[in-house]
Amino acid sequence: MTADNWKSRGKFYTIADKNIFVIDEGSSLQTIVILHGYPTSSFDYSKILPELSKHYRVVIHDHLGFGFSDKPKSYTYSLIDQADFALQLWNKMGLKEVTILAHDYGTSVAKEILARKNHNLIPLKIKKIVLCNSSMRLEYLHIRNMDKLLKDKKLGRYIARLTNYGFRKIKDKFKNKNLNPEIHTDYDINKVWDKLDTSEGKNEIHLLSNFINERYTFWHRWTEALKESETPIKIIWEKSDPVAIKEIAIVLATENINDNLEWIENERYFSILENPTNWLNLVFNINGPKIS
Amino acid sequence: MDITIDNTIVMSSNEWEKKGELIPIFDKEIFTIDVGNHKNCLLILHGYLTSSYDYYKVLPELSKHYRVVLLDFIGFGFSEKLDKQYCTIIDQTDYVLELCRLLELENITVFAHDYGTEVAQEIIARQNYSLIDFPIEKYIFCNGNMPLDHSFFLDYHKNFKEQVAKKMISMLASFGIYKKSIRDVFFDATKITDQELTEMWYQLELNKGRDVINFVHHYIRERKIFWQRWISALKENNVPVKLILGRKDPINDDETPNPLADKIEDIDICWIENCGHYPMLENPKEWIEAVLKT
Repeated sequence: MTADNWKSRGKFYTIADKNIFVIDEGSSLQTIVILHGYPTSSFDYSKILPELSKHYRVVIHDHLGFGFSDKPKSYTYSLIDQADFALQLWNKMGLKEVTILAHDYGTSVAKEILARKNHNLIPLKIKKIVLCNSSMRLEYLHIRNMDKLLKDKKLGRYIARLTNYGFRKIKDKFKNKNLNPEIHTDYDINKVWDKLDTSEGKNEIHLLSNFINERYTFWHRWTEALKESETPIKIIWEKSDPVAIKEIAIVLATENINDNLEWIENERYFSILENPTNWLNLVFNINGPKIS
Repeated sequence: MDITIDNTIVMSSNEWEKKGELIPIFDKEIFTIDVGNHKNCLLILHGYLTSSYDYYKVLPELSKHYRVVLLDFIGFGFSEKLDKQYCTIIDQTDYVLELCRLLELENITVFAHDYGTEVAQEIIARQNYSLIDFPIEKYIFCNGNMPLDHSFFLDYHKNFKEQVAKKMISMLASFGIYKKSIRDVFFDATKITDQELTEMWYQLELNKGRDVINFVHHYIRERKIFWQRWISALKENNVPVKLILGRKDPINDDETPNPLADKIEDIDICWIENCGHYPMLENPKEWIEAVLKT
């Protein structure tokens, strides 16, 4: 699947004058909405989409500032804004009841949506929330040096402009995780980086990185949201994630009595990119044919 | 219009508390005063380090014209106070909206002063996105908070930022400093009595209210995060916004253009002469006239 193919599979919705890229496939009455991670896009789910959409209607959008969605110049994207855009989009699509699957950055958006749900502010019914590798609990988060530099308001913009950096970062991430190099060729990594590169995406990285500050500010709000939730929450965690370490998952799980914590023991067998078949089996109990 | 204000009697905190009740909202209790038998409602959002008590002089007259709903924000006045925790503007907004829903308010005019203007801006942002369906018909902003512009967050403003933070934090240090800080933002400092300040300090200290650890630090960070969201909200807003401003407010004087006035087209500004940051306490009569004219 190339980035262009992916673009042609989806369509654009206009939300508050911004174009939001949306993939909407499957005809089931049960809907899964997906909030993707940072700094990638809906493209992360390209491999599991064909199988998942046999069982569910699957709605994935690129957050504002990511993937093929609009990247308004110099906008300080807040997670609260991202929650607002997701809610408006789902409302416009006429969704009444959904299961939310969120990964990394998306989990903060999901928690804000949950807080609003707990506070009677949204009519949308939420059947279940699935959180994957969230780095929400900052006291456990090991911010790596590069992330620190990106967060720096003066240096961030220049560092983001060093084109090779992003490419290398993604490549190193794959390398560090010892993923099969045959599957993750430089070509794939280039594609991810190229997407980030569109609409001056690079210049915006430092603005997107502002979310670290928000996680501090809303620490209590989002922890409370999990504690008070009547919606079932399932936590799926990769044990060896270098950023979202396993202690975070344990704390998250103890905060919510509805939780259902499951570990991804060996990422090579359960990675959404590397082994989508096993991932689907673990997260949604779907036993489909082998996807490569 | 015949407006009568009794300037001779100072309301005690006790009497004020009796006028309202604690309404449970989610997991907290919010002190709320709800008076006046009218369909048109005036929802009042108070400022930083004071409370709904700021409006004791104007309440009797206002309630002849409006159903007036006053609340103390979480952490202020008689509302629940948090132990070593910052209640975000986003949270305050959720509580206010739930209160509106519980009280079934109709034809709402939101009046916001100082810190309350941030909550009002967040309400506007959600209203613009059609994420709330409350019948809010109008907003009145009154002497807003320190004008924080985008440039404020640049490093060369560090000293100014520190000064502001110091001032805001030091207000909590002692009654003496609190008194002086409040008096400083009046045009005529004799318009606020020691007795009134004593009542305000009493409400602040109640339930360990001074333990608002790092309020300023969190608050400035939150305003930074939402600077763009709230400016866009004001620009895209379809509901009428009116400004009532004391002309001699040292925090927001008329020599520096008001940041709110800059952001909204065709804004209707009503100036109150010889008046500082608290028009409802300093020039209550003129303030009521301005509100009723809108």
